[in-house]
Amino acid sequence: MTATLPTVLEEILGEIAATCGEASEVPDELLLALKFIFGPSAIQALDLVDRRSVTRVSSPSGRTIYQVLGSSGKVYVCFASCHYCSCPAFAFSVLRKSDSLLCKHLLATYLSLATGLCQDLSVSNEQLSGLLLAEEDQEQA
Amino acid sequence: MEDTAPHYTPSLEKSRGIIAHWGAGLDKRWAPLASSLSELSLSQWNVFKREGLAQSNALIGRVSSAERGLRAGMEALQQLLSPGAGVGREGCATGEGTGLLLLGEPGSGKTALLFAAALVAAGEGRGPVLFVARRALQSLPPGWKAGAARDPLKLQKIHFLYPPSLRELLQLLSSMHERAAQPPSLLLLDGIDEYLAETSGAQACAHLAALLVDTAAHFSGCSGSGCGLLVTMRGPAEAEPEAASLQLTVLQRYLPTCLWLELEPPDLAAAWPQDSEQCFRARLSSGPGFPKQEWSLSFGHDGEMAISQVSCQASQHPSQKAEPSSPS
Repeated sequence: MTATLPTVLEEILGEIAATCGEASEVPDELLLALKFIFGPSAIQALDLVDRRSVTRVSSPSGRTIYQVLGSSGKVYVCFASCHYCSCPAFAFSVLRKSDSLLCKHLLATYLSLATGLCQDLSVSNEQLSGLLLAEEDQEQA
Repeated sequence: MEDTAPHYTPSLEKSRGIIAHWGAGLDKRWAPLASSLSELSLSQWNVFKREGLAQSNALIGRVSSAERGLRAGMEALQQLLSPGAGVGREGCATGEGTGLLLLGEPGSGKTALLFAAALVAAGEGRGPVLFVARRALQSLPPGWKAGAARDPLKLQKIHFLYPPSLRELLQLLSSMHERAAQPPSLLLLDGIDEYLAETSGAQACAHLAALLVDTAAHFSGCSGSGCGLLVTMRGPAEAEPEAASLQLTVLQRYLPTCLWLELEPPDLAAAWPQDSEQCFRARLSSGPGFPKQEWSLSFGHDGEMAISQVSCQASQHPSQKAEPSSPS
């Protein structure tokens, strides 16, 4: 992931990644920091991480995206290089109202990467192209 | 919970709205940890304080920090006007594939500048240049003749693609990774507004912008030498519909560095050499509160481009004067 994150979040993710290597448990103060910055979506995101909801999908071309299985059972697509999620909360709270930094799916993606709890899936180039487009299909449906 | 957060200072008010619900949302699961909350809030606020303006920019969702964007944009402009330097490298210089958004009214030189960038990048001996637009160019931009005369092979490295609808543009971007034998060095989209006119949704706009950024980032990873991204858009009209304004806000989230182009006022243009065909003024902005940079551009009859920096105008806001002119 190369997306630019707020410095605070980068620091927290870095510490989580460092501590998880040894204990596979996120220390309380880091959880608290997450809660502090993200409010209720921090817990929802941690829940998604606990359920291993984040999958890194890659194709032979090297292109990568992340799929997050939402609590409603819907699958959302998160991009690897910039903040984008196909969920409605992202469109509303992040894009339209600018009162959230990230949606819970994006946060869950960053947390899964930091804790090493990402599932991996390989697909063909054509399938990955379809996933990159998927959001548009949902809109038309 | 209001009482436990006495650490706000006026300069932090901006950030406050973003995380206003941090305390209110505490539930019982967190009760054992709540005792240390006030200490944590102090230390977190100190981080915000330390990071200052750059931090609050990041907080309101600008994907890249304004300072980094500013540098990227300056480099982009300087590089695209100095052969051998390389537009595409702007991404590497900043450590990420930051793109540049060129804004201006019709006839303000957006396409001409985009084309000049294409010719420069094509002459660098790296990957091809992808020039994407809704329709074929109606007339050749000024830079065409000079560039073609100097090196016809350059033009062969510019691949023109004309997806006729937003849907087809998204399909093109999504599937680009399937067949690119050689990763492109520069991805150009002329007239993103023509595609966005098909939709009013913030989500669709974000999807297109994110797909552009992600595609450029993917090619940057492939080639190791970076893939630049330049997008042009018609500047917002004065009586601007709300949807278009929202679209610009969303675009700037993904392309935080903007270059505003406008025709040079006639009195200033008179100072240029007689053979200059068109003169333009370019203003670079990366966000509120950051010093603006200005350049004058002119295209001669032979297609030669001239550039000069215009001295920064004094800021009208006292708060901006206090900003360092060259953030370290």
